[in-house]
Amino acid sequence: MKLLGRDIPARELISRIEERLRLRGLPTSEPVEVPAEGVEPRVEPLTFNLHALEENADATRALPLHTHRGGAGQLVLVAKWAFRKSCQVFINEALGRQRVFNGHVRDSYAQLSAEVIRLRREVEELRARLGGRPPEDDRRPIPAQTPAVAKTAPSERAVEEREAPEKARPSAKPAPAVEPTKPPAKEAPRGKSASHRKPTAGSGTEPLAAGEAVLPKPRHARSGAGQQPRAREGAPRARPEPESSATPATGNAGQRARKPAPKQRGRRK
Amino acid sequence: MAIHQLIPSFVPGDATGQAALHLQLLLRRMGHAGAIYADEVGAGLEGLASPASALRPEPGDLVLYHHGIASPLSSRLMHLPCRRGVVFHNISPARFYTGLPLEDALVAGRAQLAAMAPFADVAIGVSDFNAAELRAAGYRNVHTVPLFIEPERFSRASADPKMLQRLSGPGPVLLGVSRVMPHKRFEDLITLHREVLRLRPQARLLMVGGYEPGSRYFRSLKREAKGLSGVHFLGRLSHAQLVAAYRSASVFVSMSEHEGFGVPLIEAMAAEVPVLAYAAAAVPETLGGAGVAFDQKRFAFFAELAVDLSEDLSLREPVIAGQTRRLEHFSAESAQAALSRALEGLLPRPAPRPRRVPKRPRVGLVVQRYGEVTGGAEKLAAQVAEHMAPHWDITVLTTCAKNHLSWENAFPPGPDEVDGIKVLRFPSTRVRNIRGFNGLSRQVFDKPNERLREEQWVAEQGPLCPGLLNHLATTRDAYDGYLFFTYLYAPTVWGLPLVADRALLVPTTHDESPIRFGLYADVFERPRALLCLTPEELTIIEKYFPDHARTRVVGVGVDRPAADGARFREKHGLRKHYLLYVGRQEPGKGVGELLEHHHALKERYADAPDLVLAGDSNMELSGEGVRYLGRIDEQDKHDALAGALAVVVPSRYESLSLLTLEAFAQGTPVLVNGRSDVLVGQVERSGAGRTYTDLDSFIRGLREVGDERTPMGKKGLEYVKKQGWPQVVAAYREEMERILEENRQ
Repeated sequence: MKLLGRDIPARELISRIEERLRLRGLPTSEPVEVPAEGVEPRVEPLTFNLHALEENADATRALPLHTHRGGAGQLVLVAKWAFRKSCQVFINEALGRQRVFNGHVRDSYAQLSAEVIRLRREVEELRARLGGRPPEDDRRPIPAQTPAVAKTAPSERAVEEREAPEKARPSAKPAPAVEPTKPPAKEAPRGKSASHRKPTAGSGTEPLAAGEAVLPKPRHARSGAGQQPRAREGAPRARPEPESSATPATGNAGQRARKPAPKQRGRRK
Repeated sequence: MAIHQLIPSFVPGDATGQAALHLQLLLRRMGHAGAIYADEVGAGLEGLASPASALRPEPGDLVLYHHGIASPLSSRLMHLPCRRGVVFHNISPARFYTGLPLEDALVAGRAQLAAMAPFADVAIGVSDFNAAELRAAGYRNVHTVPLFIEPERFSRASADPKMLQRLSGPGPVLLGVSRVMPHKRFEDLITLHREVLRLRPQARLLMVGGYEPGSRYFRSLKREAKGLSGVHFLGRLSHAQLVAAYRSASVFVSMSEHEGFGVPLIEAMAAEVPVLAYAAAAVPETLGGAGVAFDQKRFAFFAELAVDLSEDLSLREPVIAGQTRRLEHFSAESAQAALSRALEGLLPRPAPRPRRVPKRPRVGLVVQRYGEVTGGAEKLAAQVAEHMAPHWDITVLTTCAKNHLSWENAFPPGPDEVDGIKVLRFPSTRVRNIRGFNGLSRQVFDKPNERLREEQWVAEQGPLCPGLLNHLATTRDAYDGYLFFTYLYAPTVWGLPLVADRALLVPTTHDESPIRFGLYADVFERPRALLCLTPEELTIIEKYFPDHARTRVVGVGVDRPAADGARFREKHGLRKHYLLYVGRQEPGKGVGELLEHHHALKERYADAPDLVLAGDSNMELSGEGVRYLGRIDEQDKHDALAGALAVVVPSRYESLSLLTLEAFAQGTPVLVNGRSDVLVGQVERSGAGRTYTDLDSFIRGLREVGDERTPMGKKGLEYVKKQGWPQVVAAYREEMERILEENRQ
């Protein structure tokens, strides 16, 4: 164990307190596993959003039963379950068109994101052919409105770049690498050895490419036969279907509309 | 170029909202105007933040989006037709909420963070830890701009006395502050408290933070705490109550498993409470070697340590001293320096300074109303403008409002001219709800407040005039200097910091409740000089703002036009002697008390003088012998002053009474409110009047003034002859030339 603080005699304090604990007959200096923690990995947005759309496109399918309330909250769960059980046919009827619409949104997004990934790969390949580093202009943030110069045909632009090699040629300066993902050592006297940290997806490397997404685990288990998605058949499943069953209170049907979650805010006191 | 902020939620008690407010303060100090836009605006905060849907940035503007948990605003940011920045407040790791609805929002927030990266011109983390996460998410041009704190708002004087009393008792007292969420590990606080109870059976544990009473987590905490003595769940507290909790604690303890910054850590430092914190995520960085951080939760050990920190002064005092040193890192100055570095490449370069001092400097005169308006400060501003016009190229920058209670736009926006003075008017964007404003005033006056509350009060006070602020921020090259009038109103509070390096302020300070707001420090400390009207005003400023800017008592000139009292009597059919008050007829000016005294006077004395009132009225004016004339013209006013038995000045809050000086100029003595130091000073220095504090002193003073009207009138005349406009004009010119010369150098 480590005590960190410039203004305390750490060693002396530890030995003094350990001595007192010994006198009290309490265990001292027992090994405790230090939890690993580092900077959170990047979540690839295109893949995440596609999975989220696939997961949620079927508006008739219930979110898993959940309540943050104990005690009487369980009764609410039962009521929700009973509602789903008895009214699912009406829910399907009411949300049928929404389900179709959501399916189109999902498919459109899938097509567009696949196209973006393909274009990114092509850009990477072109860059690699040019020398491995993006031209200065391409490292600027993407403007919301396309500037006039960007509207010129690619071939014209390539000609311009050839004509102005000094301007367009990638410099020899290496691209700014992603910083190590742990806080700077001098500011983080954490006392946790590096070996204790879980390796994170982004640590010390460039951000992940689209195909290397760090995805969350499915938040909820999809229930059994009564829970078959009504999305188009044959649509690819991005996430594996865990076999864990729903909570006893939910049973298998669990077809419930989720109450809108309260808006999350920052720290409130 | 404006720098706007976009934030999912702007509500009281929200650390992100407070960060946005602080950032706005720094941006104003750096000369940038801009507004806060939020998806959710807390009740009563509409004057401070606008709906996100109203954001319409110009292409050159910068929008800083505060990102945390998933929000639809991140998508909006990517499509804004302007420059964009992300301020990252961190997101709790989803692993703490596996299987719960919150998990989705947390992961989606991280996906949004990564999605925004290619669209951001600048990324700001509030800690190096957050900055590292931004880089991991793919951001370039990443900077750390730490949050800051105003330590004086955590002083013992800022604590709620009732809460202090309630929390007083035996120690040691452990304190935890944060929302009651699983990853904050309140259960560890309870375990620690259980261990402390073995050592000190009287120990107490205070847990502060919003919680849902029915939630599973909170109920589990309650179960855990069952049977333990001294456990108090205090819930969400007001700022003053929070300070009381800090000030009642022996040790602040954080067992949180994840902090992107840890605002309570620095709040505890400011409240001089030793910090004992689990070294999770950004906690060691925030502590920066101060306090005590630890990497393993050994409760018996930390119970011993908590008791030592509470009782062993040789351990406690160095820790508190180290924390105080660490706080310097979280000052507004440090944060501003970091923010300047972060925005360096995005901001336009400042224009080169002029090589020589202009002969006729271009001066922007900023005042809340101008033209046909009643009001002492506004009238003074008009007089100064007229007398300075031959020496300065003056443009009056003001609102379109005429009525100071509602700020309704009465004048057309744009260029105007009043008595040969150029005026540029900007529309007020909000009508004041005076009833709501008075209610808010009762809540915040004479109490310690957080900055948000004080800013809310200024916003409700108004006038809200973003066009004027934007003009100040974007046309700095059009003016050589600025002259602001009145410290109290929003155009000064928010406008002066934008141009403070070239600003003079005529504060017209009153010893009134709002002057105790810490927010006015920028107004009194940042301009180049404060031009006071009386020595008493200077005393007030020194009392509340010891670090004030350079001051100078410049006074005010008094015109002495020819006047005829008989003409006034004849015009208005006045037969008897009369007392006169000219000005805004409102309770805040003491008119109610004056009416009561006059009514009592009439009841006691058959030959009591009448009471003549003139000026805009916002109250019922009636009574035996009371004549209300409405607005009267200047000549009528001077005639009225000349013909009065005495002029009564009933206001308690005055920085200088122009009416008093104008009465002296007509050889008429005054009877003034003795609770105003300024009025008492004016009467004592001139010897041309009496003061009153109650009915008896009112009657006694009136009798003396009546008996000695002529000699007192002569003294008053002599007094104002010494206060001429030439001296006042010379003082203003001298101060402006000093600014020009310093800026040139």
